[in-house]
Amino acid sequence: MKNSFRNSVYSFLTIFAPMLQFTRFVLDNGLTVLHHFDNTTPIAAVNILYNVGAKDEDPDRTGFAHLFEHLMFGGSKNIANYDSELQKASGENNAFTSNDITNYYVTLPVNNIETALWLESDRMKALDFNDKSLETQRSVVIEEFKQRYLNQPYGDSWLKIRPLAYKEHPYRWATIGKEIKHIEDAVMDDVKAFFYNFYRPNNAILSIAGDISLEKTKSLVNKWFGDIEKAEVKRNNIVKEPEQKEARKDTVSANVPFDAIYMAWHMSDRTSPKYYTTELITNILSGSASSRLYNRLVKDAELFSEIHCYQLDSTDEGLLMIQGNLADGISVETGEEAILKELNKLTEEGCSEEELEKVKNKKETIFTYSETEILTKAMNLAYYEYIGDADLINKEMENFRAVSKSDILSVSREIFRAENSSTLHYLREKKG
Amino acid sequence: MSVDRTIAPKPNHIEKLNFLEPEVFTLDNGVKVYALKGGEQEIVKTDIVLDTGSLNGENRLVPSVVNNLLFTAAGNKNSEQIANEFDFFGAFNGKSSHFTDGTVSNYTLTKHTEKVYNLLADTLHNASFTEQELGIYKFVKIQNLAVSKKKTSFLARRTFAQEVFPNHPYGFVSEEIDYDKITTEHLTQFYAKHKKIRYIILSGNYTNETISHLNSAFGSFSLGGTEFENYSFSSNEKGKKVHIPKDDATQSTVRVGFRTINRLHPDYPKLGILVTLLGGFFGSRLMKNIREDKGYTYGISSSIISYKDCGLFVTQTDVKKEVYQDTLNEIYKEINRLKTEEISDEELDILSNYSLGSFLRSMDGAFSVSEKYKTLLDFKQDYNYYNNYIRLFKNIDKGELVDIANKYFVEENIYEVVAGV
Repeated sequence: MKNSFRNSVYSFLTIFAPMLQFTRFVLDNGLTVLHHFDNTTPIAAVNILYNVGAKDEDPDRTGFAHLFEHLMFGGSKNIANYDSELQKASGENNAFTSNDITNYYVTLPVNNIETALWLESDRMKALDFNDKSLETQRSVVIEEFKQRYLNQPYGDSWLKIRPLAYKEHPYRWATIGKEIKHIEDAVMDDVKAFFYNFYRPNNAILSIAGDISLEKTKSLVNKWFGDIEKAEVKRNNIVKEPEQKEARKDTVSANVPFDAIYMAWHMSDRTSPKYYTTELITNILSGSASSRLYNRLVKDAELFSEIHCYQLDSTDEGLLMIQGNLADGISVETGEEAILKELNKLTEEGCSEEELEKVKNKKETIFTYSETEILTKAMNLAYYEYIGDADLINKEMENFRAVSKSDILSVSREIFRAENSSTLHYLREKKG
Repeated sequence: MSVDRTIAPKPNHIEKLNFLEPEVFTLDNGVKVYALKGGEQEIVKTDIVLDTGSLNGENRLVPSVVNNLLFTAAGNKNSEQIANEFDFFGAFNGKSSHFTDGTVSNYTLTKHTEKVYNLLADTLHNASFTEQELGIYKFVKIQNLAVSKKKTSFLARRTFAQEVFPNHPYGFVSEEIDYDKITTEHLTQFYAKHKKIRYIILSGNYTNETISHLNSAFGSFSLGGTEFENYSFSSNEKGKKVHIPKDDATQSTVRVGFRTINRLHPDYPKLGILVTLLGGFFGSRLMKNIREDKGYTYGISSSIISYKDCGLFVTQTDVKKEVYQDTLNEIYKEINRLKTEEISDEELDILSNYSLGSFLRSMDGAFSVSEKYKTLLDFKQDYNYYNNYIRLFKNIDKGELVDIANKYFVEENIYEVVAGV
């Protein structure tokens, strides 16, 4: 992210939007554009998603996609300062990088939408590669690394769990990078090569939502993006993670007040029908005061002070996570055993009709809510186009409703196998 | 055809904001419902504002525990049963605890409002506080406290609050022993006394039916709200510096600020503009200096928090440990610039357009408006509060801004806390 203190609430984990009308068109240079008309708000949203993420990095040059996201704000050929030009147009922006994508978004009054298109097209066409920007953003990213991962208790757990669960696939490193040294060593030539390879119109999806007609949108997009040249994108051959054949474990000790546990299981990719079942499994287990793990392991047994279950929304085969903080005096082995016992209940008996209905009903509210925000709509359109087809948004609720009790049973049996699991014990350092 | 990219599209300025005016309904018991209609989706947000603020009563923690334990027991239902019932309707409930109220915020699809409102009123009316739930709440809070105390940002925030508001409700910080002392009797007594609705805010695509469901469910709840007295502060309470060591910290959290005016004061819009310029957005003086120029931090920000009887100016950042003193020097340098230099036209243009855009965004849609509207109600203000800003932005006296900076940024009033030295 560019800056955590700005609105960074958008996550694709559970946001869906039913019956979003939109139009798709593609420029000659391969830029895919999605237009959604909404005249109930004076704000327009312009979202641009580049199909590049941490998984596209070289294993000895990690953290690059995220560093690059920062550099995108260092000025482009004709625009010295992206932010101040946008501020003059009463706009706000942010960006985020994941293992799969880098996504930039702008909100501004719709009558200034051309400013957003000027800004985004100029930096797609020709970023200004200056040393000062690289040096500064290098420092900023290093501070971000520390603030999020090193200066927080349990902060580095992601840096440990990923390489445990993934041995071949580039998901084995986190978006922030494997280590600070990779960021320290980044050089300008690498930066330029990265940009010219991935930041091409044919590797991008632009979505525009607001009180603007399709004709006007087409005309402005052609005006600003039409002359940017397409180019072949060279990607590393991403190796499919081989099937995990036995349970993996790792242990870390640090100056933390309580033990914690992180467990990961391999799951399907985003476009698989099993994705919907998996997501509902996480909702049955966690996320509400009615959920299983919270009630059995925090409330009834008091083994954990917190416990969460969620999946990572990865594009390729992802992970389903369970993480929890053990109660003082409870060993991590006891906690782990209790989690596995709960999972056994699910894999043996499945869920009830009411449980399944309730988690689907919650999704429906989330669906409906997400349609009330223009930025969410623009982001969703781009994201769904990225995973295959923007119209998938309009099928999401249907896909969730179609999940049956037997789906829950069969997918949980597939996922929650010991040989599919990676477990990290994060222990409080014993003072000698 | 090639476009000339050297010329920026000419930005249009925001000339005015359109405000969503509420319809005001009164329930059978006299409770006012401020209803903000908007959106095409069949979903509503309902904020039940209760008289369970932490300024009530003597124990600072009891009200917040009460607010957090709502929905954990009611009548003969336990927390899991209550949660299952709400979840079955796809309803979401949020609870928040403030100084002057406790608020329950509910999101529900309009087709379920009748059942959900009845369930909500029933749960709040019959809320009880059990030993088991209190025990778990305490255990979780105390455990989380231990984790938080490992964070420099947490340590800085608490120490700062205690220093700036000594022996004062706004400076209260909770320790394990404060949680230990609380009993279910404390909670029951407090809630019995303060189980009253101050007002309700309804937002979204409601209909007359929604209002009638609200009335059936809540029309016999007690209406009421404490009128709080204002605190006064001794002018003898001057600024100080506190540095807290933490060997294993890789960053230091720096927090600088002082007590000041709040949003009711006529000088507030101008001071607000200065604070935004200093550290209130990505293009602020501090961001440009500490992050973009020096790379010391991932983020630095300044703001003014309005309490009902005073304001609090704060600037906070997490920086590389080695440079915390340099960061402090730069913060004071930037504050000094506000007192000695007039803002340039270009910067003023950026600041005013950005700020108006920010207002526009913050009031986009009925749900966003509901949050802003609550603040207006609590401070007994109206939308003129925003109109004042718009007028001000159209006609700022740069010299006057410098005067305001000198009036309010007084060195001897500044508190400085650094955690992780």
